[in-house]
Amino acid sequence: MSSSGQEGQEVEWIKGAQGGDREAFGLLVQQHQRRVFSLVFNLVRRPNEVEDLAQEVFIKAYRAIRSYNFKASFAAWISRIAVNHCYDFLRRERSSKVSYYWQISEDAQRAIEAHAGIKEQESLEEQTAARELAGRLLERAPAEDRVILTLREIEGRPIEEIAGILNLNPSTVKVRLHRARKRMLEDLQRWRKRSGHAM
Amino acid sequence: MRCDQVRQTLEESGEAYPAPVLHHLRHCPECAAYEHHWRWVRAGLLALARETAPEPSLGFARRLIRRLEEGFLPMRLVGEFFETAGRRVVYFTLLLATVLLLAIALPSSGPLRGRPARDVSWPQPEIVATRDYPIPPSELPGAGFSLTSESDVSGGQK
Ligand SMILES: [Zn+2]
Repeated sequence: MSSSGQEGQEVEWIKGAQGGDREAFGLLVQQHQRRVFSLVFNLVRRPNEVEDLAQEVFIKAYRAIRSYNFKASFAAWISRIAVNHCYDFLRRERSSKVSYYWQISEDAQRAIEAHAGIKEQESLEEQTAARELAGRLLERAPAEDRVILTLREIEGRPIEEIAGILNLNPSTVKVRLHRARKRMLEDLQRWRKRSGHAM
Repeated sequence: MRCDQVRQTLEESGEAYPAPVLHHLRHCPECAAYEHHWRWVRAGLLALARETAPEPSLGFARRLIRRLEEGFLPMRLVGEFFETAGRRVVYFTLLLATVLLLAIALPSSGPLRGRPARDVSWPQPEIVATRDYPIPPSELPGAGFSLTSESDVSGGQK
């Protein structure tokens, strides 16, 4: 089917769902489920929670579908619901934890200490250490920073698209991204100072 | 270039930094350290981006529709509903308390209240006396309670 044919079909499904047709909504779910699963996974990084969170996103979308006005694409609209839902989840998770200790495996610590600079063609050991480091930093970051960094650095979405999802100006998105990266690196630096690690 | 500009540029420009950034990095140890840390973090974020999300389980959409038909609401959404409703109750109670406090604390007259009945009932004799009012003050009701003396009133008429 051509892309305009697909879009026309999607419009029909959306209108059907807005009129209370659950089967039509089911077709929309099938169309967008992978995208939502991937976004939710990238945002929360807990494979066991992804399906439940995705289900909640679609239930919220179903309850709000009459407010969808076709101004943005349906994909952008559902991404916004997913981002907001995961943001709430992350915020609650973060506030329910008493403190965040730095937990990084000894292997990763050794790799980070051993390699003064990471090169473009880094070894598998370096890659694994860097992955663990970034994962820890994201986990410790405020929910707001985590969301914006995930959309840009992991999902690779353009600034304009992120602005649309977060309902912000593109210039505000750039400022917040820089602030989030800065805070992340400050956290890394604090860890280095505290534990006397060389990098 | 300022340090902050350099850092923002290197974050946004991938591996190939512009010449002014490279020049700054050679002369500023703080920014060089920042760049070094950013390299590690960016490599880690790229590694995270390569991980694949779990697939929706078989029949995910069908199960979801069945749950919608049953009117099922996941616990987290129920919690969110009560959280929002609870917040509204708190706001309403605060508003009500503020209105009650204002009702108690505000004076009985002023721009927010109507004038009390006492002020609008009858003109007071001494005011009438100083304004050449056609009705003599002695004929007005309540004339005996005038706050000014007889001599003051007659003096005002002169
Ligand atoms: Zn500098």
